[in-house]
Amino acid sequence: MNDLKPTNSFSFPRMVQVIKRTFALNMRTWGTGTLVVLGALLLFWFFPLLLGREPWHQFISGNLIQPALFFYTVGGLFLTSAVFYELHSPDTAFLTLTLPATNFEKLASAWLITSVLYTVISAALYAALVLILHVFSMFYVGTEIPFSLYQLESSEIGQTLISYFGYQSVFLLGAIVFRKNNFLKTLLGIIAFMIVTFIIIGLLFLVFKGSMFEGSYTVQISSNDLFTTLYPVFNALIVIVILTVSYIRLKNKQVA
Amino acid sequence: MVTIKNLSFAFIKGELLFNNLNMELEAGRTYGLFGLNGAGKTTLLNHISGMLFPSDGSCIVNGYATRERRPETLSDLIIVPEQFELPPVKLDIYLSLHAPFYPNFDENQMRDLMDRFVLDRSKLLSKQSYGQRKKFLISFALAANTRTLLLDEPTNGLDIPSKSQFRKVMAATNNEDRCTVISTHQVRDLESMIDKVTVLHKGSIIFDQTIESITDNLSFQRTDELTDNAIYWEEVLGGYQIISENIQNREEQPIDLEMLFNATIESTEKLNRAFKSVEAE
Repeated sequence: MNDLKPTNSFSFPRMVQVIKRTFALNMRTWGTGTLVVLGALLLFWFFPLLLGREPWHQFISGNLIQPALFFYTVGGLFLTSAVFYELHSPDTAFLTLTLPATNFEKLASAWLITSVLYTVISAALYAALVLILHVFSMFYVGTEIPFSLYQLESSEIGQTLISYFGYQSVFLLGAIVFRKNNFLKTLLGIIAFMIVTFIIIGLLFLVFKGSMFEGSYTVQISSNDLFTTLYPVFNALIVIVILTVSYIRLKNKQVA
Repeated sequence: MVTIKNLSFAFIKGELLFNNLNMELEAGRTYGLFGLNGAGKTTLLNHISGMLFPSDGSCIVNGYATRERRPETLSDLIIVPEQFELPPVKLDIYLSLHAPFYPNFDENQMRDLMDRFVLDRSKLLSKQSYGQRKKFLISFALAANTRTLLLDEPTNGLDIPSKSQFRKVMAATNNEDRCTVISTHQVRDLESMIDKVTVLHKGSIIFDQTIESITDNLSFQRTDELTDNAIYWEEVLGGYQIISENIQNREEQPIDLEMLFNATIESTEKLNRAFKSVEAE
């Protein structure tokens, strides 16, 4: 049991132990959440049947990936918002704050769980669900149906992943900063940030163009231009900045 | 072992809870930290455990500021808070998740302590009563064998047999390397365990003496009439219970910690003078 050396520098085995701890303590909640999402996806699959359409037709059309991506994003952001729930109550904060691991290990564990591991597990669960539904459909139809796991353009999945990793870091920061209603407060923070950004842009237009709404301005982004290439890099930089801020906030977190 | 140097802290700006607090805690001692409600006992323990940071000054444990929350420091320090919640896992799961962080954790000792406290391993920790959870956390803290042990109101919520068991367990697990700080209101529960009395009042340490020094310098008596040398007295049935200077250097007498605490609050100067006068001699 005592295989962790108390070093002050980064320790991979200790981070793995923190990950195990986080998983074990949240397993019930996350398990329930997973069942809810799987149930909702099944409903999406069965819904056309209720409307008189064949379920396998819906399935073959590949529309299940759309709700799956939606649930992946929203579920992941909810999960991220609650990952530091122990920190915000004086009755539980000691469990995290006095846990003999570095702040970096605590943050890295939370990030890994709610981003990389969450994505891998979600993808695996989705694949398993699709496979089961495929087998079920084949059995129901009685003929072979062409199997395709992800019937969306891979770029759409990629875009969702990039967006998720970006927003996820913001929600991780919100999970550390806000004491209650972390999800809603972070969402509010993002909306407020966007409104302020639009106001600033509007004011800049007002200053330089004379009117905020004069004319129309269209930003065209083609799939081949530089923006598309640089977007993941820009997103990664933002994630790094937000994670650094999260680390500082976690390091300075105090609970009476 | 634990050095608190010029520590100042305020929850509300301008209202200092601690103002230049200084304290030195040594290994091998068990400190009784007493104080009225709101004196800052829990806040002080939270500073020592690194959950709160001083606005000014420092809190050092084993040579490092606790605000740094270094794993080496934290793996050699453990706190049992007064109010706490534990996760919805069984005892053994909790142990497998937390014990690896403490290099000196003794599984056999933990098993023995759980047996002594008659803990139910089959129930989730979150479903156990407050007293059961507290006994579990105390067992864990003792089995972790850290050099700094902080107990905030450890006997609160324990039934009478458990309080007695707690005293026995504390005595059995006492070691020379450990510095134990027990913050409590229930002085009578812990009288036999403490070897240094520290009283916190209005953000300052107003009394800080070892049991030996108290025994040498103060006399606890029951008299029919008040005597001139009484530092502090309380009316009791048929007379007075008094604390006076132990000028005759009488044989060791049992210390009434509750009365001593009341004396430190109400007659601080007189009481401390009794120690100073002996030191001067």
